[in-house]
Amino acid sequence: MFDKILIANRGEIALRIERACKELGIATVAVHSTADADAMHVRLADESVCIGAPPAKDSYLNIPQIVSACEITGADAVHPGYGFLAENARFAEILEEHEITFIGPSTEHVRLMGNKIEAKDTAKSLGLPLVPGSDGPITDLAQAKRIAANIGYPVLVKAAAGGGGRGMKVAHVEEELDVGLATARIEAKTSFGDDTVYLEKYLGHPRHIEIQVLGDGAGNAIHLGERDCSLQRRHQKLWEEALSPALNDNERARIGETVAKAMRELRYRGVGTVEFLHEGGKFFFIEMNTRLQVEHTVTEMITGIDLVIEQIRIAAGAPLTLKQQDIRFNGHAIECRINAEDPRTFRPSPGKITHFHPPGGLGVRVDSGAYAGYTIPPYYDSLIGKLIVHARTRNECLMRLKRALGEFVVDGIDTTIPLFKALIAEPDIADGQYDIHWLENYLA
Amino acid sequence: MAEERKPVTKKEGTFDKDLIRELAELLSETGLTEIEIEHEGKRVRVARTVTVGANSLAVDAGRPVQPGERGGKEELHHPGTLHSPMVGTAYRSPEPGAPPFVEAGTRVAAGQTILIIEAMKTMNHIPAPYAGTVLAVLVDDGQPVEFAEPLAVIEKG
Repeated sequence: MFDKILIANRGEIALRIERACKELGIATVAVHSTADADAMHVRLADESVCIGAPPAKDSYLNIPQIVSACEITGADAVHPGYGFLAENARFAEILEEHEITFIGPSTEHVRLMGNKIEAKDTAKSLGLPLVPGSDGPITDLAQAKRIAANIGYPVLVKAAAGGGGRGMKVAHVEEELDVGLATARIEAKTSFGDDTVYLEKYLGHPRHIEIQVLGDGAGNAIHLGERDCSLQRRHQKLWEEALSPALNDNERARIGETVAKAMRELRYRGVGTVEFLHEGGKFFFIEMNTRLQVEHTVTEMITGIDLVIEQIRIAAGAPLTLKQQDIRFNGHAIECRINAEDPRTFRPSPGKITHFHPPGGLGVRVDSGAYAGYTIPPYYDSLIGKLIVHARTRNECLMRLKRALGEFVVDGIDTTIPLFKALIAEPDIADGQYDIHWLENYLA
Repeated sequence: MAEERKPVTKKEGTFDKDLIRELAELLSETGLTEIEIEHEGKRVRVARTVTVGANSLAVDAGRPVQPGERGGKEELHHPGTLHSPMVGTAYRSPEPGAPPFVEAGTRVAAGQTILIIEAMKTMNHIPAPYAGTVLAVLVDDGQPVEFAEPLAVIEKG
């Protein structure tokens, strides 16, 4: 086991990792920028090293400074948290060259899943379901009609060089395909200088469902159920729950086993998340995150398993001792991301927190580095904490969440708390009837 | 955050808190930066480092300074304070046993090496930004330094 872990992150996740280290009896080193000298993750660590100026590129993304901090403190492993360097294969390699363990998957897997095309090819070869499509460029209308009939309408014509929604046209029926192809081609040509287009099944109202996995790199891997993260704004998750209100036990076991099998075959090491869109009872692979996720907490609440402790054990070379049959799903959990933002416009709201009172009581967990008198620096992301609520059923969980939100006081800055209070009162939320567009429509 | 006392390296075994407290008090009294004792097979090192971030300078400005305090107001807020540009280990001489690059009172030319900071197996020369006189060197040989930690004070001229 490691003697000392350096945590190459800040905020609530740095605290989260420190907690796991302390329970394992491992000493902790916090790193921080000059703007974070008073941060809670610095205060609670055994040692701390200032590694640079406030901009992330000068501190939390500054690899030489972080490696030097390991050297002067004698840390033998680095936990990257999420964001910053968590999916940087080069960072993992440099640590390896310095004989410091990167707490994460192999550099090969980090790199593989970081490349969208390679990730999809790998997912396909591992038997994970992909969005059906043309598997290559469309050359003429007859070919397009044949493929569209095969995958089923509606279909999406997409520019191969595309991005940001440009060069994308939906055809709901065959009659719309001709015009759709032509306009997508013109848009692709003018936007990207390349009129190559391909066809994909169009998903109109999918949910975002992701599967948590845990592997030991030696061919053992299990799944820890799913999280439903459909409530998003601009691809930013705000509310996550486990289990998903949209799946039954059979569907859960089937997709879970499909993913766990894929991870065994890949010989994946550590924690990871395989993300899918889910519509009409079918799953479609989006990407795989080769790291701990912000919303890992809801999985912890319903399984009772500390994912960070498992992650550290596996990184230290321990085999996976948990078996699939050891994983039991107990009750329901919801996480709300408390961001320092205006709850309507989402304009960031850095500044000084004058009062801070986190909720408590049975089944309530707050992961946060915030405190009264803390000034939120303007340099980093706006997440200041996570409220996680656990109860025996989803209904109880919603009532507990409502109660906890009512107790939560954060004064001096704007937060997303009022948005969650409003969401609790929405019948669609109470019924679990929402897709990835629901929140944007609600806010519009 | 201007001044912290903390062991840089965690030692094995349990700590005798009273002993550490006593040593820390002694440290303040004497104005030393480091005390290391060995007793019954346990080694305790109490050191204090002066950490200055960009933000803490202003906050710190009104703080009274104890007489004899290392890195006191005069040195910390001296416009000639040289701050560490990186995390690493500071060395005061080109090799073990060799005389130090500079000491208090040394006249230096612009670009002259004040000390070396080892980071990622690379020796980085920290030069004098201008010609002047070294008033103080604030780090010991082999001391780990953080980003922005004051290294030396050089008076221009």
